[in-house]
Amino acid sequence: VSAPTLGPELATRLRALVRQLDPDADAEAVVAELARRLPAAAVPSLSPDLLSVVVRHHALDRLPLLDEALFSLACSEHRPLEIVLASQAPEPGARERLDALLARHVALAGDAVEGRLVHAPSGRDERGRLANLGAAAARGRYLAFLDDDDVVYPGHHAGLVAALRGGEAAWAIGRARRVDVATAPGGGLHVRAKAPWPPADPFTLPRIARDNHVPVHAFVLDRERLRGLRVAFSETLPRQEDYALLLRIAAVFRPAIVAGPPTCEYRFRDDGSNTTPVAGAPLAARLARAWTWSATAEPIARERDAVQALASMAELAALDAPAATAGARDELRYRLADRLNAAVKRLPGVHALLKATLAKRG
Amino acid sequence: VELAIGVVLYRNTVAQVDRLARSVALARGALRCEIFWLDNSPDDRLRATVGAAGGAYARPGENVGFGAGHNRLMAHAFGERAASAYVCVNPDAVLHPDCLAELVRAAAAPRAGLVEARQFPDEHPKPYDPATGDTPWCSGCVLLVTRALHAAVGGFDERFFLYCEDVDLSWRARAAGFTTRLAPRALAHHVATRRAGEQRMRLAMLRSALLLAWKYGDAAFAERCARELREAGARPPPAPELKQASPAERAAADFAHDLDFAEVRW
Repeated sequence: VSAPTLGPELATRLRALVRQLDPDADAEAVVAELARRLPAAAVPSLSPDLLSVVVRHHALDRLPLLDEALFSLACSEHRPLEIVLASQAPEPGARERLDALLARHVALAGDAVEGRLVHAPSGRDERGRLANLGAAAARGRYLAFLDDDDVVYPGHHAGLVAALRGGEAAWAIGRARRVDVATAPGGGLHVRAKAPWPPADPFTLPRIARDNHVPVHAFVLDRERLRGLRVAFSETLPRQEDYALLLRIAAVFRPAIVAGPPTCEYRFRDDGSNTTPVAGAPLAARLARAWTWSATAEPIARERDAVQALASMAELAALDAPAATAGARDELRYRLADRLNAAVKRLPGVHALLKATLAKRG
Repeated sequence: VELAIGVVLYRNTVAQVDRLARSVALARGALRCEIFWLDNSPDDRLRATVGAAGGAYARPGENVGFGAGHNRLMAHAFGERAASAYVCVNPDAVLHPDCLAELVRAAAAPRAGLVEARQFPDEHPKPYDPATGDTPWCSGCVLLVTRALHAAVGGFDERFFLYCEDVDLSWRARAAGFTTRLAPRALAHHVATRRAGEQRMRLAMLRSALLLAWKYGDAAFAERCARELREAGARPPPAPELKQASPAERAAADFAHDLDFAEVRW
């Protein structure tokens, strides 16, 4: 079955999903119909060796934090590098100050480093939109994100891109360090402690995806290889928008895991402004949350994202299957079938085919 | 000269020197600075790179070590050039554009002796007071030495070839009533964690730590260092004849925290 719209990875995952729901189902037919009906993903023109790092920034009172983030990028070993500063700072004069700060660090970085500012002033928290605006402006085949309060070590991006170039994976994940920081007198940061993140091995996809131990700056995406997947953050989620994207990607693409020493820092500040990490929760609750997060992808291609979210749920269910009881597994299967049914209702041909193929579910 | 910047080179890459020179050019801002390079390398292939970056270049023709190299530059800076302060800069560091100004600002405090930059993004875990910057000892990675301190206690003890000379200078500075501080907003990009696990570095550090223990009269710590050297198959150096540290200097010393020489935050 040719599934050019879906891409081979997503097609494979969906076949697995349908077969998980009903081993006798005609998975090939369902996937072929989906491929025919779903809207194609827009593929931007990408610069082949360029790494674009989208830096999200929110307000001018965070300039000291942003300064450190940009300094860490200026000393990154990866070249060529494009720093896309996506800021929503609404204060008067913000554009000029951000331009000046960015220019200073680009000058420090030297050759083969460019900077561009995407300024979308807003008084609301626009974290998802900022990431999307930055990604749309980014020209690199390789794409990474960095929040304005986090930092990377110099070999971080170079190591992840090397892992991508050395294999077939569409994205690569590195290990982060959790850093607890206090606000020092005068507004600076004072590091209280550093620790491995996650706290203990194994550093494997099921573990780190399930427990959300992958901060947004811990991975690099190869957009050439992600053509079947639209890189879009939810613009409606107040938090966990990065986790939602992570789940969608993880559902379809197996990453290269670079499990060496930590190469970036995820800073937890004492002002409570960080996203709270997800603790171990019951399987059903986790899947419900995964659905909510990963299915939320405004504003376009809702059906496509819903299908990807379903694959995400199926993957998480499969990862947890050994630990689940038979009853829980059945409940999950029914839940998945209902979600899939709802997701493709707007695609009449697919819906009919799906109903027929899952008729035996009872 | 308001500020003299000294860099001691040894087999560095052209890219490292270029990057450091670029960062110094941005960080000097309105400060009246001069930069001095002392190249311990066996050849002068870095001469052209340094020449393009600006500043005076000297090559002793042998590797005189880190501390001795800086001592020569400091003598020139505080003597002939009448510098108000001297900043040791590691060649693999990159200065933040505000680094030098922040160091100079911190050095304006009374009894300022040593002011170190905050290594970034992975700083040394030794403690510092977030309000005052007071810290038990200062790293020599990017370190401002005040003229007053140099006049009172001199430079590095040249018996330390590499490592621990900064700890020793810090303890001597505190014993003489000077402050040893970290300037939190003076960032110097430097990643030491990659080297920390290397056996060769560990052994070099142990040899220097052994000398430090002898100098400050901590026999138990000296034996620990010597034992670890022997266990690693390395021969500990013989105990030298040296002038023991004064009681005040001994009071500033801390051998209770392994090679960190201070209680660590993590």
